[in-house]
Amino acid sequence: MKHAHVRYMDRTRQYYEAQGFEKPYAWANYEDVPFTQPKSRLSEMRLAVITTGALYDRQQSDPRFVDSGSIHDLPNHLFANDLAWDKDATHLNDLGSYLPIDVLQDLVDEGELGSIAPRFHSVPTEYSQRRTKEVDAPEVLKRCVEDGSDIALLIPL
Amino acid sequence: MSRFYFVDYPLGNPCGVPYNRSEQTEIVRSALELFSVPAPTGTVFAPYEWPRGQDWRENYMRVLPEDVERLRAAGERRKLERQKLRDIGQVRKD
Repeated sequence: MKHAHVRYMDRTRQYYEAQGFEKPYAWANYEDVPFTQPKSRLSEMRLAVITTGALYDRQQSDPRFVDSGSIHDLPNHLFANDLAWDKDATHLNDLGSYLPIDVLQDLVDEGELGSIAPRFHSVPTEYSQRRTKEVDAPEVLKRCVEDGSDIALLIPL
Repeated sequence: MSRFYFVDYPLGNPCGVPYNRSEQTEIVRSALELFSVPAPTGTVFAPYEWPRGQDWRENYMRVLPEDVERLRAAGERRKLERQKLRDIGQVRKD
């Protein structure tokens, strides 16, 4: 790699520290992520798409919840003014740059991917690790299973 | 991390440069290929470079000395706003 990677976690800590939030943010994580090899080929599996963008113009102060949209009724763009993506360097006007349902549909049409789950899911980025791990993640999993998804693509903004 | 396809672009466009459909297709296809690898891949670095310069790397969330007062004031406002929302019960219950 030609360029040093941005140290996002350090930058985030410094940014919030500068705002006077003394307690540094602790990211939810699992020490050991279970590895599972899919039993089928990609061309036989159904894929769920998961984003951190929102279907409505969520305000910073709004409580956030798991939400789902239809892949057959896509918005022109998602909303994410309440999230810390790089608003100076780029924009969210092209759905394909962060919610590539149309691209995936091409891969389905070409036979590379089995199908796309009918719903994509919008996950709330929560300060509370407990909510993320014990409430939101199980809810997303439940919806993926309901839709018969075999695999999921997580695409955070 | 068992599978992660990392595109080193400004946060917001993890699937490729806006309106560059062929690049988006390559990126999504490469990410999906990780499902076929029979062992954890860890982070796989995508071979793309943001085409509009590299200044964003320095600028993202940068705190300059002249920003300190403004950020501290913004943090104070945020804390007050949060307290107000807690007081009126506009918070998640679970």
